[in-house]
Amino acid sequence: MSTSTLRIAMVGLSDRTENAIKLFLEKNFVGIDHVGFDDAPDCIIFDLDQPIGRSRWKRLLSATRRPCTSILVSLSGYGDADCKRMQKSCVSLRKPVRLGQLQEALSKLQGRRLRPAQATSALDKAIARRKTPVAAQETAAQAEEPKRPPSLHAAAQQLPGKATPLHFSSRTQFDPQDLDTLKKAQYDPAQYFQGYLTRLLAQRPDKQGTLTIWTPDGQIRLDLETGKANVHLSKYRFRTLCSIPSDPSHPTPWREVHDVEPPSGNPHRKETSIQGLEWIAAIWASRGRLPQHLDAQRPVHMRHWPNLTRLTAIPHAMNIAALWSQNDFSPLETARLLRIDPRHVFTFVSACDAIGVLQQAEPDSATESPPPKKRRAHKHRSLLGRLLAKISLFTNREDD
Amino acid sequence: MYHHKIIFTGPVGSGKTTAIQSLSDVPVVCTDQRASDHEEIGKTNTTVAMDYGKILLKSGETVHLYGTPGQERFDFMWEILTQGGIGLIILVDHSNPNAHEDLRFFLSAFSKFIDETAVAIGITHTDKAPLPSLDRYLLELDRIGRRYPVFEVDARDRCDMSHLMEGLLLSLDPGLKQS
Repeated sequence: MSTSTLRIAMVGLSDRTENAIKLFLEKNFVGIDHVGFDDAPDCIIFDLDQPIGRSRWKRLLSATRRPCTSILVSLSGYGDADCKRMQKSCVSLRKPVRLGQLQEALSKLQGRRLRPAQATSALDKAIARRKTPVAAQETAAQAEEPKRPPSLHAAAQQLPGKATPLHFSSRTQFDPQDLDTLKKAQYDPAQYFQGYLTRLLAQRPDKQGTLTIWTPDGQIRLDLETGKANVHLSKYRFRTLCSIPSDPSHPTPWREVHDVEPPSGNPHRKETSIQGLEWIAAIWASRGRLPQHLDAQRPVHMRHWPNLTRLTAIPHAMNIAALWSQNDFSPLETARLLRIDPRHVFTFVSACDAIGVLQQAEPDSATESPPPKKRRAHKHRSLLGRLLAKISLFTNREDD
Repeated sequence: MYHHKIIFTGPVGSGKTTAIQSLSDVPVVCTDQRASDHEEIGKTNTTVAMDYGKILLKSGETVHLYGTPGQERFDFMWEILTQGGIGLIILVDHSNPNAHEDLRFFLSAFSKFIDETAVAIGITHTDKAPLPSLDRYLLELDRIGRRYPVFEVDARDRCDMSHLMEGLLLSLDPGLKQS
């Protein structure tokens, strides 16, 4: 990781707002790296109107007296008091946040020594090395016409639905040769809802009866006999539930009860399979990272293809599965051979591992596959590529 | 001129004609006849020679879709239809209790063609069967040591059938990119 990179995390913001901010930062600053809350960011933007944003801000405050640079966003100025107390390390903004305000906040935080010197200097450098002097441009524009900068919502409207790979906790590609970075691209599934679900299902090998998982935002009903799951949670809440690691010092936000029906009439009720639930929980826990019990450099063996027509789509999943159906390759080798971002492979590995279709040989076992043979392209590759493009027009269904 | 063909096969009632109708850019030519053994096969009409549809590409090329007749007494058609084919799609009716045996039969009948090309397996009628598990088909593949794509599909759904076709194309060449 370059010392001049500014690591920014966002907590509790909607996808569109997050995308809009990312787009804005990328257009106006260089050296910005979008990371997860747990990836030691230099600056965090919290949405305090969301329970997750509020609880994480509180947790950050209780964990350290001098948290990293924070921008608190809320409708009612919920973070004003905290900011007054924190003074230099915190800026509170009221919604609707405008890009100009955000830029001003970042500028305001410029030069403040809140984190290790490196982080502050990264912030300074990133702001100083703006590709375009947006502040100057805006000042000039405002002098000419009293036009306010566009709101985040307006900027988000310009984004296509899936403009950024939301599966990832970091947008910056990592260097596969850098072992330290590789280690950071791992996570412990046991700390996430994914691990909880795995443990819960492992306790019921007889696959009899039903289970209801209660969370603060809704319920998940598992029918073990039929393999069906009913999720009484909005897509957004469910993703949040799966993406946040549980805190060992606090009780988990979920618990299971037996033979209790969730309240009826939830508009977000969605039926899926238990396997589909494990799959999507792993995707949101992984977010481009590899489960820590798997090695990015050792070959993995796919027992069989996942039922990809009934599971949430992962970019390049078909290519990866097709490659693994021919031979065993390590996740990194797979990314290299297919010329794709390793984070797509890691997400796919994580999801396959969660539903039990993947295994990895022990490091000292003799079952490691021989060096991969040079693959030859199909003789009708060009035609097949055109056919693939044609049928892909019909494979874009709404994700879970 | 070289004809690019994709072959659809599977037992009677597995949805081959419907699958081709879902994917074809032109009205499908069917050779349906009233089935003399309709009580046994569970439907009144069945394909006796072949089904034919096509996918038209922007470049002006055409990929032909051929569906084989499902009944074994028409198996002389199978070899004729597969000549020059680029891949095989097998559809299996999940509501049939012996569906895994059907799969075994068709994998064996087309083994030479599969070895030369690739195969993707679509499991149809899963809404009619009580359990969604695909285990019995995966066990069948384990038995012969193969890892072919096996997907639940609804033959009426173009999206499902396109996914299955994508599985077939990428099995032919995993590094394939859209062009």
